[in-house]
Amino acid sequence: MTTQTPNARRVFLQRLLAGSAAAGVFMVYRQPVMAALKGANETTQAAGHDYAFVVDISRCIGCGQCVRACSIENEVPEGQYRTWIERYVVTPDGVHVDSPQGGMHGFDEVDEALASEAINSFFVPKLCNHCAEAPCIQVCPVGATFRSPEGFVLVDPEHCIGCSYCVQACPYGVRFINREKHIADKCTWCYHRVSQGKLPACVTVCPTQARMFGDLNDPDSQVARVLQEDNWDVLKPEAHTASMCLYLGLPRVVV
Amino acid sequence: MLPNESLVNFFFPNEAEIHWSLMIVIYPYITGLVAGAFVVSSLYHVFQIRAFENIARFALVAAFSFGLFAAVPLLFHLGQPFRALNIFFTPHTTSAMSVFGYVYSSYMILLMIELWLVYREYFIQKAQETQGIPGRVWKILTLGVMDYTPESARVDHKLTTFLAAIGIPWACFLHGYVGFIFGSVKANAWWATPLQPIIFLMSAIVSGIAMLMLMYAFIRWRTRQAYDFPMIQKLMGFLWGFFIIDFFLEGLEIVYVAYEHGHHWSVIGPLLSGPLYDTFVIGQVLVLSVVPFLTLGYITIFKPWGKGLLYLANLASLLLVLQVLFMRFNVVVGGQLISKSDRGFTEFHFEFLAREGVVPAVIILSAPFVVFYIISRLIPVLGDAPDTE
Amino acid sequence: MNVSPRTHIYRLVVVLVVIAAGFAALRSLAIPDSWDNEKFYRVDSLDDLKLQPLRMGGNEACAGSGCHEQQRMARHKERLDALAKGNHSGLACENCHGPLSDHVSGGRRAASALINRENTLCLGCHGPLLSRPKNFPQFNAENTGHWYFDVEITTPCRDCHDPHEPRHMAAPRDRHTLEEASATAAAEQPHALSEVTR
Repeated sequence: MTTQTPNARRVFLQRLLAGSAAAGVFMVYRQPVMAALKGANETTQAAGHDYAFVVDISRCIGCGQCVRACSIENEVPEGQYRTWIERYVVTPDGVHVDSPQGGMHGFDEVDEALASEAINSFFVPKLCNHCAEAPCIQVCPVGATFRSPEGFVLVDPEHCIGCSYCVQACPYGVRFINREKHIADKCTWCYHRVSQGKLPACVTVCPTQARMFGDLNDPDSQVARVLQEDNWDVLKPEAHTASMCLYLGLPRVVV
Repeated sequence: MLPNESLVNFFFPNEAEIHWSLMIVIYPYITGLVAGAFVVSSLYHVFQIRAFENIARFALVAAFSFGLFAAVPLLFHLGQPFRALNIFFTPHTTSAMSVFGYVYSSYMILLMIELWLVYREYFIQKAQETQGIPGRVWKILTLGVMDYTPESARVDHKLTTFLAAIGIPWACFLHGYVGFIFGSVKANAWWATPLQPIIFLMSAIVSGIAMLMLMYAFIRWRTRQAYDFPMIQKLMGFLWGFFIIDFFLEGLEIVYVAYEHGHHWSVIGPLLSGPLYDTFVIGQVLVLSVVPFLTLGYITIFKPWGKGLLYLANLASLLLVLQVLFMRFNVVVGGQLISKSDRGFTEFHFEFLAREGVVPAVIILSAPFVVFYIISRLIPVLGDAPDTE
Repeated sequence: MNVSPRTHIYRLVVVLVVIAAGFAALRSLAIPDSWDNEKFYRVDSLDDLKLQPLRMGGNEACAGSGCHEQQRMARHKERLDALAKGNHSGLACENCHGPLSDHVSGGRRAASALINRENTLCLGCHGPLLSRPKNFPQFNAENTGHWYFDVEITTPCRDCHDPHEPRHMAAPRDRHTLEEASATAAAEQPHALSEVTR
């Protein structure tokens, strides 16, 4: 090293610096440049769908078929739930809410003391609301969760790092970290079924049509009619999540 | 007492498991120590507080030792730790958490440059003295420049001051963003407040100063060296000042929420009088806040000296080091105890040998001290020569 | 050797630039090709998600699937016709018979479809619960038919009810027709006759 003249060494270092800087700049812009050359990313779905879900409280009988069907269809680990049923018993002294195993095996009758006090009682199905302004998407640090063009809020199973921030941010408690896959998981409105023209599993099995799913852009769909009749509510409207899960007959005590 | 007229304790089925556990408690704790120690070093380098001249290097080395392990709890926590680099590849800037990768690494680089500038003279001296492989290592650390000229020392000094100056807002960002991560979650009543970033930052500085005090006292005791009492007095003064701000802000947040008596209080009131009563009201506030507050007040106003000062300073510092740990626990875990159904609470259970258990947490918290010890054997930290005893 | 007072800084900068360039290269290679920077997600993940295998077939998979048209499975067609006529027409076959994927795998029959004859199946929907909607039929031992034939909640529902057309009653246990029973009950039972269900 000491036999090289200082000038030659300086020139070498300058070239190394310039070369590295150039390579760095090139590498930073490689991906967007390549993408632009390849043409814009084609969307893989036919454009124009805008899906929504409707839950009719007055029809739910708490049979738990939906919870079982979802669990089977999506291989949900035991003790974790992509959807569940809550039972409310309203009394003058307060509210009794329970959801034994998410309602998967139905419900046993409430005890007599509580039943005698009840002024109202009903079941409330819960699932991901696929919010149009989802806080879970906002907080994902790596862009693993996103909203598809037709309104599905989904998790990229290859990109998720399992940090659980989305689980914390969801106001509805519908997300969890899949115990077997170690990534964020939740109801997907059965994206894999809908993309083949079928309905979500829970909608398919509901014996009383308490759950409905459809395209808001299709004027003949039930969900479009419900939206138009403006008789619906969403959970936690104060959170301003633009929830796409519309509830019919939602009592005030439901959170 | 259950929230919102609930007759039984209810939480959503997926809330049975608490996702942010001990690893997420100790992560802000460790970055807090980094930020706090760095602030002490900058108090000398930028604000020229003469009393801290002899501990400025020590604070930097401590900040570096803690900083090395800041990312470790996160790697233990992630469901997919091998994808951790995604935070560098596709950082989603609407998420406060996305800045972690770049802020943390750039901060560590800044810290390493600062350390390098401060110790360069020593590296050059060692490179000239030692032979063989250790000699090569020292030589690499000098980047081949074997002269420590007065002009180059002036260049170093200017750059050190500059880095120490931008290091302060950078350290604030490194820790403040953690507060934002919690404070911006509208779904969690205990977390959501605009005060969260500044509360986290102030308590971080408190923990850093307190930890430095404990480390300093321990090292001086073990090496049987004299204590710099004027420095300790000044340090405790700053500790009290930062703690007053921290305690005031934490208290303000609760007073506001209680006074507002709105949705947040409907779940926070039962939380603080219920599951969090022991760790928050008794632990964090009564024992670990009031006692050090009074102790530091006594130190600052009545200016005790000698052994008295030493014991009181150590007592206050130990309690505050625990206070900040309790605060992190109460915020992180406490917030998750509240069910989003507004009708009950979940339970937290300590695990021991699991991924987020007590044993890994203790090991991770101890590791920086081991590294600090190793570094102090190689370079002079609290004196002119490394501690070779 | 004469070096400038800033030489060590220049060398430090070189080191940093090399590290930065290396990192930029790594990042460029690591970002997925289909990444949409505006919507911020990996577009190819949509295709990955579509590949999830289906387990529930829906009724369209059971009716006219080409599986049950053979003579041996003629009963199946009878059931489907009965289903279409009665109160259970809105039900999914898989509600009671289990998911399609348990029955069919790779286009061939894997196992028999589930047939559950226990009361628990019927009571899963029709068991009386406070929280069920009042207009939903729930088992009541005191309604006319059940009272007359001494039906308890443990009496096998299938003794009288065809699960595919539940209002079409099978022959009751003691051979009376339901009409005869109603006439007798009108005379004997003090409750209102119009209450067939709760």
